[in-house]
Amino acid sequence: MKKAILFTRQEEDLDFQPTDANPAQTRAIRSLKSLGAMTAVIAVATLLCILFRRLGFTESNYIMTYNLGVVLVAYITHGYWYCFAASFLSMLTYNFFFTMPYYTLMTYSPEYPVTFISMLLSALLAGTLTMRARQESARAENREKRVQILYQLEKNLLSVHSKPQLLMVAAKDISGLFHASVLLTATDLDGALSMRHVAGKDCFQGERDKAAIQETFQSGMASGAGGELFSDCEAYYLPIVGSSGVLGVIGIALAQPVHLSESQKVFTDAIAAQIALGLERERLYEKQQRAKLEIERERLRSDLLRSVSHDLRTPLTGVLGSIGTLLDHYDALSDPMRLELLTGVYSEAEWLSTLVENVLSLTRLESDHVKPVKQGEAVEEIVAESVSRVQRLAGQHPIHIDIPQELMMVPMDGTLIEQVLVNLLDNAIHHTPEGSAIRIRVYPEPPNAVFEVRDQGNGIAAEDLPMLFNRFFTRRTVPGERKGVGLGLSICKSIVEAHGGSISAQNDPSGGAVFRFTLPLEG
Amino acid sequence: MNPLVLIVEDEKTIRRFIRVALDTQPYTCLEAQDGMGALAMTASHKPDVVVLDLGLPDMDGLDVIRKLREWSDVPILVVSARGHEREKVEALDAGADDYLTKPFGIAELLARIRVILRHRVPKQDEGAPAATFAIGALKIDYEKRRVTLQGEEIHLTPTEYRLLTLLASQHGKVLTHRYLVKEIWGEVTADDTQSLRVSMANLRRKIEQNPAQPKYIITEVGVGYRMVEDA
Repeated sequence: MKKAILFTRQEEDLDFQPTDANPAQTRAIRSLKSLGAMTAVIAVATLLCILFRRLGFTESNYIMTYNLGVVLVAYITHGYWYCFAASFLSMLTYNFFFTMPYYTLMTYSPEYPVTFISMLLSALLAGTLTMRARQESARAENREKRVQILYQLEKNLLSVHSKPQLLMVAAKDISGLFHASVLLTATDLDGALSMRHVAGKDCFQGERDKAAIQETFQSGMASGAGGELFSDCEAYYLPIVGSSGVLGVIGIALAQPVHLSESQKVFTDAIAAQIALGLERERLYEKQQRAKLEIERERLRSDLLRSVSHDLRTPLTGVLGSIGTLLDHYDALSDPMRLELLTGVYSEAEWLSTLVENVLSLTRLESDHVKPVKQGEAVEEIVAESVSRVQRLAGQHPIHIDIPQELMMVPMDGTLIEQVLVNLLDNAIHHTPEGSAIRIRVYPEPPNAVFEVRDQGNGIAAEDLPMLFNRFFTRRTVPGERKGVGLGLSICKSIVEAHGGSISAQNDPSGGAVFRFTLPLEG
Repeated sequence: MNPLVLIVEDEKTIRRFIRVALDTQPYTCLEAQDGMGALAMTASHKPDVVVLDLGLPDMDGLDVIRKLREWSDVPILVVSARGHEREKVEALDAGADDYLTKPFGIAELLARIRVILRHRVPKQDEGAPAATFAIGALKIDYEKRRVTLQGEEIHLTPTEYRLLTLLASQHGKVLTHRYLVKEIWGEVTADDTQSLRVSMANLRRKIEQNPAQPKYIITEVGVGYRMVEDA
């Protein structure tokens, strides 16, 4: 009998439909329906038998009709009690209507008690068997449904390409299954429970809920509504356990006060195991990616170090030499010579300062892999600032500014774009002959804003063009010209691309080089 | 008596060169190498200006500013590296008067100190506020609310006029976006800095010959605006 009860429960779980707010009420309605159905079936059987009597059929037909009725009751109602009651009721009505004396519950013939008992037993047996068969098929159906759900989930999980996507798909599936709000959290590579996705209403933010999530995450035990711990929470929380420990937590919030049934909980465990597999797969992939990135970054760092240390040494030698000379032979040096040495030191130091600034922006951009903080900036302000920063170095280079008369606002990280313009201007100043003009032009070309720095130098050698924005690339320069670290342009590229724009260089047919970059006008 | 300048900087070389530079000027120098020292020296010597490096060994430079502001209104000139714009804005909003970007030239440092000291004087013997302000060809007549450029009157909206007079009242000093928005519109929301930029663009179109090469109002990217000391 205990087993049978379990079956009925599972049968209830079959429909994952939203259960009514009041389960007691639902149950009462269902009992009433079953009771009604039972009474109706027996009444119909009795009417049939009365008809049979008019037609002069034998009594065995009556018993068969009642038996059929009981089987029917077993088939349409839920629970053994109805089947049992139907058997008993049919025995009584048979006695009442069809045995002498009619319309009493008494009998004359001594064989009737045997008939009654055999009738009761056969009805009971037939009913029970029918019911069991029905439950068996329901159970099979239920099992198949579960397998199908799990299979569908597995298929969905296989088609995702990242952890956030996985969380999203799984949360959506579970939410559709239980018609509930579902939270899915998972650990990142550092083991912190930092990734989350919510399908439906986000009701997982309460203090108690957060504590329950932590508890489940740390202990690997389910908690929350309907559980033993944190039962005052809105939602039920169960862990996603993988081979390497708890990988995340699932939160399911049914409309109060309904809780998940035991078998539903068992089923959610199966789902959690499925998700754990997916999470482990993604985790492995992430680890690989991170290792790859780490190697890449390591390589960059050593390249940077090599290149920077070389480029630092040259100006530092100049600084040390000049200062050393000054210190050792101060009195022997004439004033103009002192001045010359000091001027040299000053310009070397200035060059070093630019270099350091570029290296810093590069590391800032690369190491934090933070997206630039965009804010609407007035183009004229950024351009004006960049120009004023290079003005002193510009010397004999006139700088022409050509920007639209009306105000142009472009979303950007102002200081970073300023750095791009400074680098491009600096580049133009250093690679073109004294006195040649530099033109900086900005114009809208929806959906982008275009920034252009145009010089009147000798242009860029065709073979250099493709490598220009590569890191550590330096132009094969005219002898005597200072070699750069080859960072300036690659930084420009990183910054512009981080803004969602693009940068390019080309030669102007009328002479000189044109560097052009775009920034999206929206977003 | 010479103005007293307190230099707060943990790097000895930098402290020394600032001191040497200041000694060539009519200033008297004091030195502190950490935050606690700065607070103690300010309390005991009452300097006229504090030059404060934000990167100190014992405490956050911002906390030094906040602590100082609890009981002193000594002008503070903050020194910080480029790229740390947020730090600068925070320092200014916490009560610092101006900032210098590292690496800086000595001429720039002296100019900033001069501006700060000049603004300090009228605060102490506040007479009637000046009736006019003039810089280059730009003149503001506060009483008549009239602005002229090379003698020609220019028409400003109330917002533009307020913006211009705010910057003029503290010319030479940088005013943060936040401060300006609060002074002009009262409340600060994210969108207001956009309105500020638009107003500034309009104002520049009226007073600057070439808004992309401004003569009077300079942009400090990521921080705010500054009206030049003299044009």
